[in-house]
Order: sequence, then structure tokens, then C-alpha cells
Amino acid sequence: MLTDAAVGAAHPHDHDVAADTDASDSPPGEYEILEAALRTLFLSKGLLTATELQAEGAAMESRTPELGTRLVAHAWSDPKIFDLAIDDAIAAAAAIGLDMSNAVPVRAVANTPDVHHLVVCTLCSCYPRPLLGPLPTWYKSRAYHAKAVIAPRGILREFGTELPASTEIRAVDSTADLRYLVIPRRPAGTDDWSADQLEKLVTRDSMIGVGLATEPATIA
Amino acid sequence: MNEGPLDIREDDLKLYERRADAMVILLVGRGFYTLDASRRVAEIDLSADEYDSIRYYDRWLVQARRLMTELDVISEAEVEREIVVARD
Repeated sequence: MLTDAAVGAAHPHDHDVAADTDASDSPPGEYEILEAALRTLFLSKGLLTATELQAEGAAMESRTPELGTRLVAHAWSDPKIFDLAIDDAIAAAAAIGLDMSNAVPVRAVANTPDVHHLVVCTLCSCYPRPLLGPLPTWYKSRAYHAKAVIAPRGILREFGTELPASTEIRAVDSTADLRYLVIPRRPAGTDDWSADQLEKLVTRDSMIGVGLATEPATIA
Repeated sequence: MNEGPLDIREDDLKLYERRADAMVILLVGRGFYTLDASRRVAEIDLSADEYDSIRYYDRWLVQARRLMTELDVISEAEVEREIVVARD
């Protein structure tokens, strides 16, 4: 029986701190057991503490695409934030008041009528987690890793995104040391919109580059 | 490489996967090993079939086990012993 509920307590669905496994009838799998074994070892040797694990789990839960959404909305509204985001998206996020402590470097790449960016990590699955939260399953798949560079237009189509043939699609490859966030094109007809209003148009997928910003007409 | 269509469904993480994430982020943050080292485990030590057949965070656990034992911070014997305990 597993006894340490360390990170589980941080999960919003786990109200019962003593509940140690997912609520399912199936017995724990090989890797669930390995996780428990490693955690017990690291805790007993004092390499990590339960408090640290809990705090890290909570920090992960607090990261959602809404942080990136706010950054993009401000970048659309303020050229200074835009320029800073291109250079250092973490600094830009901090400049608009987002807590970016311990964040790995991220740079923004901006889409234009001529160039559309698509973020991938071909080596593993590096992702701008400080700004977008946990990564989607498909981002971790070999199919995505391979197709994003070989056939990026095909990837976009799988997400229902069609771009004119004249738009170049450029895959940007994230690494452990530098990740990318896409600033999608600002939809037309939003010139007088505030940053708060603009946030509603920015989707997670548009910041990965598999989608576009939402058209204002569809949310009116 | 024949990859077939992309499965774009979202997938909720299991509790132990959230824990694996927190554990590894902390280990890497403490400098026990780097993401480059964990990629070495994934790309060189795991066969392509093994790489493809396990889930993303399961790979993280394999990497943590391998790299922390290489560092002699924990031993294989200790891991095996804890696995037996955890299975009960």
C-alpha cells in the first residue's frame, strides 16, 4: 500500500489527502509502482521533501494557458511588450505582472501574413510551460514531432487550420534551454479592443501555432 | 517513418504522472541531472520500440531511475526493494 500523498494533495480533485491512487478499479501499473518506489527512496534519503513535492505539484496546477493569453493580448496592445516578448517572453510576462519565478527561457515568435510559426520539440517535448501550463498529449507524440517539420501544413489541416499557399510555414524547434511561444496574428476589427477583451481571442493552440486567434465575430 | 494521423484528443494526466512531473522538475532543478542527460537515456539507452511503447511520464521515471543510480545517489537494489514494497 502506498502511503505518501505528497503531490496528490495539490490536485484539485483529490480532496481526500489520504487517497493515494487514482480512483479506478485497476491495480497500479508498472510505472505507477516505479513512481511510488522512487518517491519513497528520494524522501527517505532526504533528497526531496513531501512539502517540496506538494509545492511543485501546486505550482504546476497554477500554470495554465491563460498566462500566455494575457501576455499575447498585452503584446498586441503594447509595442514595448511585443518587442520584449520577442527577445525574452518571460521578462515580458513579468513586466505585465505575471509570476514567472523559476521559468526557463522562452522567446516569442510573431505570425505575419507572410510567415506562420509552428512550435515543436523534435528531440523530446520541450514546451513553454510557464506560460501555457501542462503540455497536450499530441505535442508529446512522435507523429507530431516528425510531421511538424516534414509536413507542417498537414499538421495545421489536422487542426482545421488552412493558410494561403503564399504563407510560409516555419517550424521552430524548442530545446531544453530555449522554448518558443507563438504570437498569433491579431484579428482584424479589434483596433479599439482593450487587452482584457483581446484575451478572449487567444487560444492555447494559437500560441503553439496549430491554430489561429479566434475571429471576433464568433465570440460577440 | 510512417506515423499515421495525429491523435489530437486531450488526455488527463493520472495522479502518478503529476507526481512524476513534480519529482523530476525538482531533481533537475537541484542539478542532479540535466534534460540533455535524460534525453541520452531516451535516445540511446531505450530502443525505438521501447521509446514508443511507453507513456511520456513513464519515460521520465525510467530516466530518473537510470540517472540517479548512475550517480550512485540510489542503487538498483534499493529501487527493486521499494518496488516490492510498493506492489504490496
